[in-house]
Amino acid sequence: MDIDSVKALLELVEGTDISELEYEDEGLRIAVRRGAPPAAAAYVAPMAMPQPGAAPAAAGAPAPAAHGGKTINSPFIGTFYRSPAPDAAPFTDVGQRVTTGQTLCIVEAMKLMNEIEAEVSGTVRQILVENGQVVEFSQALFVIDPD
Amino acid sequence: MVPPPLRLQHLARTDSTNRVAMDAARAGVPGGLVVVADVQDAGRGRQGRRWLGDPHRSLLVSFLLRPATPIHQAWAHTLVAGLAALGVAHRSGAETAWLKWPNDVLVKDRKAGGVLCELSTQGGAVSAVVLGIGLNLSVPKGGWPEEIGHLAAALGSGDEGPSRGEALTALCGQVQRWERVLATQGPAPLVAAARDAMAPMIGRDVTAQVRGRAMTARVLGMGQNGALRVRTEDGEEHALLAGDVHLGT
Repeated sequence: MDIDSVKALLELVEGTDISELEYEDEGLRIAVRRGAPPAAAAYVAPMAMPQPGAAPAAAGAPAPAAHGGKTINSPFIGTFYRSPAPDAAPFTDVGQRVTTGQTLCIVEAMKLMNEIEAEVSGTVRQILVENGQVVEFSQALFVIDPD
Repeated sequence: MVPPPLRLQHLARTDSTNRVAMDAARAGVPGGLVVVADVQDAGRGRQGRRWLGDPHRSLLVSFLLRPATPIHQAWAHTLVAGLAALGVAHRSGAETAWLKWPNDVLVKDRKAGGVLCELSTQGGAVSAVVLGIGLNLSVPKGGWPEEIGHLAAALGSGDEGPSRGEALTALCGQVQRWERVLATQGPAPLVAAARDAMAPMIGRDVTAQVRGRAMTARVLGMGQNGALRVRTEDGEEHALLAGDVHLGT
């Protein structure tokens, strides 16, 4: 990056809401800061709990008793997908082994794709919903038999 | 609560800026990373569809954010991305651009931009959100590929459009602005702004997936939870949260 590009970068940041910009290109790193530094600790850690009372009133079907299995529930209302694309293989299937953190499915709401991950390692015992089905908040999606 | 400062990572070529940003999220990179690529070989759309970008005439960018949004409001980040992209369009001379629910940027009825957001959750809480935004800044040299010629549009008319630098800085400012609104006031102001931005589709007939079937429906508006409210031909009203909506029947 030459000096003209740096000048161009500074000019671009003028008149925008950007308070701080770092540019990295082939090992070169440039930080541009304007005005007062942003408030410290601007973003707090993710909340551990959703706000009470604000969750959707109509919760999904209660999770069936999993008899020692671990149920994986949907975090919100949305459409359930078993594969990353219509013609792609499903992320997993009944009888397959999964490990903690492995993607099991996608729940989509408003073009926000949430990859649901296995919370335990084990074997998929049951898949409780069909591909493309609308799922409710906290509806059970999978039952996994932990190792 | 204000969004963190942004850090720009520029890549000459990548398979997908969303993939790079999601990998960074998994590796624990703090929020505020902006991944921008000149060329994207496997840009992602909904359900594996591809997003094609002309290296010099489109902006392909993904924002990695770590907001404190409660999970039941995570969908509002889609509106952040859509409204931010629309804001850039309006500032770039495409004053008539509007939002097709939930977040396509249309000029007349052709697509000039799109959004794909990805969410990473941990223990039922949001740990990272990636906003992937693609904008056509100007018409590619030699025109649009034949198969998308009747569907695609650019922010600039003819050969002219905003530079990638101008569009990127405008987009960074817009994303920070709407993220700040969401963090401090919740989704309501975004829903109100998106309702205005969607006005051209209200009262129009669309084809939408209703209970798993493609049906013709008339758009009534948008609910407080971001859902598209439609009435099908049998007179029943539905609130749609996912799936494709096509203009026309």
